[in-house]
Amino acid sequence: MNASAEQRRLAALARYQIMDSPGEAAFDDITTLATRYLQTPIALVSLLDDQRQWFKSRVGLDVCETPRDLAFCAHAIRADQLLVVENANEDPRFRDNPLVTGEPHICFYAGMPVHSAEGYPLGTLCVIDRQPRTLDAQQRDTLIRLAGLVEQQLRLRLQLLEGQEREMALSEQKALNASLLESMMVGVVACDAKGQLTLINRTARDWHGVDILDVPPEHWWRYYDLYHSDEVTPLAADQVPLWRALSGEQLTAVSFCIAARGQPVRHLQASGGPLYDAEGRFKGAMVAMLDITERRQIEQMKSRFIATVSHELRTPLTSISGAIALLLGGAGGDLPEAGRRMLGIAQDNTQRLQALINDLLDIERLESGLLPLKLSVQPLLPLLQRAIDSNQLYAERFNVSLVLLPPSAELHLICDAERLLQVMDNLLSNAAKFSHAGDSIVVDCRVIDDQVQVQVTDQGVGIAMEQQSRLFQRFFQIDDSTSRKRGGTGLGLAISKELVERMGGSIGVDSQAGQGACFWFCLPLASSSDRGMP
Amino acid sequence: MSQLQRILHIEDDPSIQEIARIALEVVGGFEVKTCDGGAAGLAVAEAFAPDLVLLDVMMPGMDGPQTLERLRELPGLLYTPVVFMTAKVQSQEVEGYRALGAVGVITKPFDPMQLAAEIRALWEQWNVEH
Repeated sequence: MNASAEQRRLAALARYQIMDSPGEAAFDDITTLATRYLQTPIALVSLLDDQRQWFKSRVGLDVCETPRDLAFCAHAIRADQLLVVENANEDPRFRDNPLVTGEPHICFYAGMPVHSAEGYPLGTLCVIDRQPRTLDAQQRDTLIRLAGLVEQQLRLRLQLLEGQEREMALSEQKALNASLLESMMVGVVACDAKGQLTLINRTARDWHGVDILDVPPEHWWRYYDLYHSDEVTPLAADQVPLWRALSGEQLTAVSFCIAARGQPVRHLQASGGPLYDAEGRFKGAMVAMLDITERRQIEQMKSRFIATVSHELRTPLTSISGAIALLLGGAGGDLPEAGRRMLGIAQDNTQRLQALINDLLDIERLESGLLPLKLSVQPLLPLLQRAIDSNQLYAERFNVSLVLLPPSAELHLICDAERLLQVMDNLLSNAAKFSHAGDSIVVDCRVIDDQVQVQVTDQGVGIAMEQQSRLFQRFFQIDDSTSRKRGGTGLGLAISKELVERMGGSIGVDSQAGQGACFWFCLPLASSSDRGMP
Repeated sequence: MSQLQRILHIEDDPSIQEIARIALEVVGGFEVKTCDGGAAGLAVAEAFAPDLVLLDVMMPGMDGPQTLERLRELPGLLYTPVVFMTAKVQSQEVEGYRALGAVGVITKPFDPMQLAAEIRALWEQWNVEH
């Protein structure tokens, strides 16, 4: 056996955790039977580690171990088969062995290796006599079978150990899970399939001010102080997140409140769902809750701030633009030409400021969900025509023409008409800004599956590939000296993206630098059944 | 149809008061009485007996809709048409203001050269409907 094989054998032996363990009746029965069947005074279950042989069971011998280099068993293991030494005094391998020349005066030895489950010889079952002996075939067979029993006994021991280890690992994992649940800032509650609460972690306990109560799901809302986000309307029993999860619903970010006595109202977002075991059997439900009280306050402050700032910005702007318009309109008397030019500049720039404020307010309202959409079935062509008409003047400023290619069939789509026009305004004014004088901008559409794709294609300066992905981000503007002077707030495409996505569609661009750009958006086609709706 | 002549403008911002006054008096040729809030407006409304009230929506203290409600309690202003003036609005918000009893909404920022014409158009439309 080479060194690494011996290492593996020792590792296999170690797994049994058997060295120096107390005696066991099962092994002692085997050694007793061995002495009886084979008529020897001594029988041993000997196990060999790197230093010694140690006897798990011994009959007729007082010492419990000997050094490894004296061990007969080491020879049996090396040979890995039944070793019979009929007379050690005549065997050159053993005749000088102190165990032969002195106590216990071994003369006859027969040892059968016992193996680990993987087949490593761990030790032997051996019988010893103080006088020369021989074994007949039946006795050899008996020894081999008894050694087999030792192997089985070892296997049982290993299974028992592994079972204990699994159990220990499981209970450690359980303890870890429990302490994890307890230390989380997320509130976690769970119940079994019958609706009996099984878990309320520390965070949830603190929030509710109560632990698991033996109350049926119908009363959860009452005992756990659950309210709608308005803080005053109690949740109906079947609106309680854990109840909904128990009814089979998958919940994502459901908002509600806990108003426990003696605590400030807490706004929460719950996610969760029903629980199933590995076989797919329904086992109950679990809900995890996130405290969003602070986030909500910050969002409300932000919204109020933006609304206030917008109003405060608009009020003076109204006066400035009003005064300019009155002067330019002659309400203040005749103006010199230079004065008109300068007022013209002032007017252009107040309009830019107004557009920026409007865009900022739009995107803020979109993101906070305060911009309601009115989705309805709309015929596409009249909408596109309106978009072209209202951008005609703007396009003429750039000496660009707008061309509408009507679809071959009448198409209806589901959208908010005003918002779709806002998107078209953005795409058409962008296209005009980035076109060369004399170019045309083509608007066309086509059906792709259950969607209609509207395309605005220009022959302008195009967009480099690396800038395309950032095009729809807020405040992104193509960064080159020529585009700066084209104006715009950098919010138009971000708003368009939000609007199109809120209407259930998608938006994108195909372009190469210097070769024009095709901006497109897809929106759901109205089915014939939708057409019945207003 | 009676002539639109006297307009009561209730607006808290002095600059906008001035712009609107010039727009309505100089450009539109109307007679304008300006008040800097709902209370002041209510105080002079009956004596001034306006043909139309131009009412800012967002004002400190009594806001536009509250002022409108109180105006309607004055016998002389039971039927006087009221036009709201407010920051950029959406079509559904316009419907909300109409429901409150406004005959129209002018959005800020407004074009002062067009303000008189817009108000005259709302006035004429109101006359047709009544």
